[in-house]
Amino acid sequence: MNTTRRATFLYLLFAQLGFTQTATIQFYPIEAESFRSIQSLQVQLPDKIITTHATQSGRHTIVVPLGTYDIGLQAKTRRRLNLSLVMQQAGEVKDLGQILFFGQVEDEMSFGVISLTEEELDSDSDESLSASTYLNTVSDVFYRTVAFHFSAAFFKPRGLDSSHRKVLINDIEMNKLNTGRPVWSNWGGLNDVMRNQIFAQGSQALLSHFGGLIGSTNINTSATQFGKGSRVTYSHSNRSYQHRLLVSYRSGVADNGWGYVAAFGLRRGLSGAQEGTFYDATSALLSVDKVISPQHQLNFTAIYTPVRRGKGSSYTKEVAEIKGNTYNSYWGWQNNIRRNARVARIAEPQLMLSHHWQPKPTLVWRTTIAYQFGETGNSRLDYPGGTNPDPTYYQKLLSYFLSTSSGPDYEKAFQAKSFFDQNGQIDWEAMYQANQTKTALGKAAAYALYEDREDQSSWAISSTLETQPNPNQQLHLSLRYRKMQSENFATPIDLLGGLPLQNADPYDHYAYDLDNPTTHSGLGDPYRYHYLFDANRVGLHTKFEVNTARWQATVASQMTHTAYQRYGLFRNGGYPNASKGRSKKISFFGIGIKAGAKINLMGRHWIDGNLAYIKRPPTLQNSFSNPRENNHIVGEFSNSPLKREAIVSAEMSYLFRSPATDIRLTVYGVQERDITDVSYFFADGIGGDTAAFIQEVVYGLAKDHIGLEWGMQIELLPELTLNSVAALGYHAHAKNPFTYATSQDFEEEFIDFGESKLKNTRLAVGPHNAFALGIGYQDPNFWRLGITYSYYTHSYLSISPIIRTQNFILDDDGLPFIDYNPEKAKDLLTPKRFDDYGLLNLTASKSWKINQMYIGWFMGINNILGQHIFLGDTNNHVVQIIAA
Amino acid sequence: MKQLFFIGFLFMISCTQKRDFDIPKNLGNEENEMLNDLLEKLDSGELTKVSFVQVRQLYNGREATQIDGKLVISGVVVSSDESGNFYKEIYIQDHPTNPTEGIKVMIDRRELHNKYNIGREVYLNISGLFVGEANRGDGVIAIGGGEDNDELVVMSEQQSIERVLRTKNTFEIGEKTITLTELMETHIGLFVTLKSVHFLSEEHGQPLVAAKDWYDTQREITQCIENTKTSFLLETSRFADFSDMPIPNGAIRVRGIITKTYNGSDLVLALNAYEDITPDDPSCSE
Repeated sequence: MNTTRRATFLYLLFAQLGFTQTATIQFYPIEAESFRSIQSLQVQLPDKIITTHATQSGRHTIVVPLGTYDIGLQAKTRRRLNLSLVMQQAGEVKDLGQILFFGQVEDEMSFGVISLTEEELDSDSDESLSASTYLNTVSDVFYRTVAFHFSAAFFKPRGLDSSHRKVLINDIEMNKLNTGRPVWSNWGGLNDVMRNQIFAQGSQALLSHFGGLIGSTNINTSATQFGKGSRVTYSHSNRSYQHRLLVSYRSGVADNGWGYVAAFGLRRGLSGAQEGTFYDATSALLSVDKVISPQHQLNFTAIYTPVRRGKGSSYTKEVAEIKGNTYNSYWGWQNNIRRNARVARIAEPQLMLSHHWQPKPTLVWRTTIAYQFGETGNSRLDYPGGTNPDPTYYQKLLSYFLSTSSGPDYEKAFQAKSFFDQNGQIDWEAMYQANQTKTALGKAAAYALYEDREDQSSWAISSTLETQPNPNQQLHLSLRYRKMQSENFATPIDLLGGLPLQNADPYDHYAYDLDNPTTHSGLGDPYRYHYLFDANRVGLHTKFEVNTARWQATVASQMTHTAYQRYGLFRNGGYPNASKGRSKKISFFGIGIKAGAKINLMGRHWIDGNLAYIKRPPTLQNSFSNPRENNHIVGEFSNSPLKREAIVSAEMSYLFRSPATDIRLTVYGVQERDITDVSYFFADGIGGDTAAFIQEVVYGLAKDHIGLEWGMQIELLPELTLNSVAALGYHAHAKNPFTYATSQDFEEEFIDFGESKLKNTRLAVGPHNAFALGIGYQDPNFWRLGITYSYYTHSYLSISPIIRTQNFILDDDGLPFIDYNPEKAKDLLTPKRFDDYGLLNLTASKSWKINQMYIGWFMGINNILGQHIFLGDTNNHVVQIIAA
Repeated sequence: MKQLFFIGFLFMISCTQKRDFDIPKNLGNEENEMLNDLLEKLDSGELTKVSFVQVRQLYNGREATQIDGKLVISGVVVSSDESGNFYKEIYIQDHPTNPTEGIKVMIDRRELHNKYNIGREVYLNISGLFVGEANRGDGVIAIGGGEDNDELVVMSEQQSIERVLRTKNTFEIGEKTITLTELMETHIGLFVTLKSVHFLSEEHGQPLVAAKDWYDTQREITQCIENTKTSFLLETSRFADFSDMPIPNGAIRVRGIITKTYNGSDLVLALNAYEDITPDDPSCSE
């Protein structure tokens, strides 16, 4: 009897005490990348778990007990955070201000990540796909691993080139009309403000675009997507550039409907991993929104990201053995500076105006009009009156003297090696002196620095209609038109103290511009070649999607019409009747169909299948065999007209998604047929013994890609995550293509080499197989640690198609070489496979909150084991500071 | 915060390669230093200047020999490889306007005219270099960098940078007129002017280098003085850019360097450029 009453009394007393011994905390939880408010949070207090909700201003308020303890905060799709509280005064209200919630570990990394390899920066080459491209695909562990680990080893998803990766900004396709590829440097350095992306995986179609085969992204720069805030990010690395600074300010949307985002950044470096590879880039973005009414919205976006960088040369093993592997043959000393002769620069600003109209929730009509213009330049040295200034010119190296037809000349080889060892860089002074001599005699410069220019200007308009005929049906229609003109020419940019150049071939003396044969080219004048390219494309895309609780089905289609034409401004002396004026206009119809379904089996299991059939035109680049010298269209001579590429893709995935586990297993197959490729190079041994600069046209290329993608992420403990990723691939030529070559130096118009025996040889697309195993530790007290080991196998050297034709065995009269040895030939022609190798990468990060400011520190060390890969680079690390 | 940003900004501005490069102010300083060093050594007696004839005497006629003493020669350049008629060699004579001797110097470098232009004064430190004939018995005793099978071998580019030094002077080469009857072996290496000579009339219009010849063609030229008709040979290499140019009719004046055929059988005249053939008053009546 007594006990009960006492117990009750005690309970009441405690409760009362409890009621008065509390305090309140309020805070504003926001998503780290976009600064959007988090609407609901699960809070773990010492005695219970509660859910809090945001007020209109994004504020959460919680009543908490007094004392010193930790509370846990968990938002959906965000990493859990711990907060240490010291509440001593009853009734106190503590304002914790903004609290950043990050998604995956790589989110922090991606704020300042510097992982651009040489390939991505060079718009000429077929860039590998890196962090910047799969940056926000947080949901998929496979793509995240491709972005942060596999990309460093030049891995290409599904062995496909980047023209199968579609990138759009505000519905406008960024893949260039002349190469079909996205040029990452057009929006480089703006990662922070371009996080608002919709990503469609693999071969799936985007909502407003047919999409590609290895992912499609639509980036939205609208200011209304961001909450108010500012950020300064500074990063440091020793990879392609050293310093990176980005400042961004988002105003949020004001009451009068105006909102804007402004971002300005710099990327600088005197030298990357290779000597003399300086980097100088600026990034600027301005996005202004006017919300006219809840249904009408306008946006104006301007993006300008000029880049200038010194290139690094690739080099042979012979050179590396003498000079080491940070050697770069493109620079030489001038006034105590490493002056690089091969500078790439891109400056192509973009302006876009978008209109968004949503008269009712189930109907949206978006239109964007965009204009881009600017210059692309690649500089190099010309030597019309001198000798080749390249220190690694093959005739200057010891291998040349060891393989002369009269037997090895050891004396000369030794002299060459010593000379290369002591010098081995560009001799700028010798070129200035030679020009001084020439100028004194009134003659044109012997050496000059010139730039190959491509100045593009393009208009694009895109209009998309999205409707929902039914709550579970979506229909999208979009109409697009793009028109591009590029002016292509070379121009001297530094005459090195000499007089303007003769606009004629120094060996054969024919004029590059027959109509003006005596004109000399000075700074800024067109030189060597001058022509325009016109291209336009009109396209209609449709997508129909049905969604139910258990399954989703999609059908998408695309119809395009593309036209190309060349307009020559120089009458080239080698092709006087086929260079000036308009070329034939070539046009193609393209179609595409995609169908896919995603089915939910028993809650956590999903099956996803996608099929695609595409017929697309060859790129502008691969349609003209020699645009610098003539109007010829590929296939004109060999009587095999240009064909459209035919692509068939099929993929099937099994997915398992639970709170602690994420698994995806995909099997895919892609078949590419009727591909055309044009290459330009100096070839020795053509038609017996001739050496000439040729245009090699390969047509009828057929490639098969078959493989498997596996990604698994398991949360072993709330703080410990295990990732396992694997990509297995078989990428090979499915048929023998055909090859022919044209050249000024040939007697006939072209030489037909017939079939190239490439069938069943593996493609050079980086490692065919890649594996990664990683462990991540996420401490709720704002620090993290990650370690990943990746292993790469089956990388192959690219095979030159001409070598595997009859040209290899026939002499100039069509009969086999007398000393032809089939055994030796087989040996020489064996495809070369590179050694397998592994990389160990480490990441660590910690963030602090100081008043209203966040400071984050992130460090990544790649290739800790110092593995030397002949295709990749050596140690690098990233240090980054974030302040919000 | 703002200060940090500003400092970082300044720091980054400086860390990149500039866009424009000025012409270097001190071009040729290193070469100048080497030349000054050589001239000082000549003054002090550490090096001795010798004549070309004295250098040639160091050759025993059989095998290319290394030059023992600390010797220097100097002269002006009279040949040019711009047209391709000369290749990896320069001829120098001892004086621009009153030359008495000339000599060939073999250098493993192309486009030598960009550095050793016609009229350029040069000093050669030949200590340790070699003297001999490039092709045994060819009669042109020259300076080179080594020997192979007793024959003289070209000096390397690095050797030429260190040994064949230019001064700041480029002189105008004078006209040294010689008649065909006077031409002798001692004129090898000199830049001479031959007046009033004729090509063979049956060869008028044909290219300087005949289609049938692989390497070079010798074309006969004649000069008539007081009823004596003398002949000489003009040799042109297939690799000269004027090898296709036609043999002119009528009398001409021709300027070039005296040298010998590949096998040393005859003296020949070699042109620097096609423009060195100009019209002249006839000497022979045909």
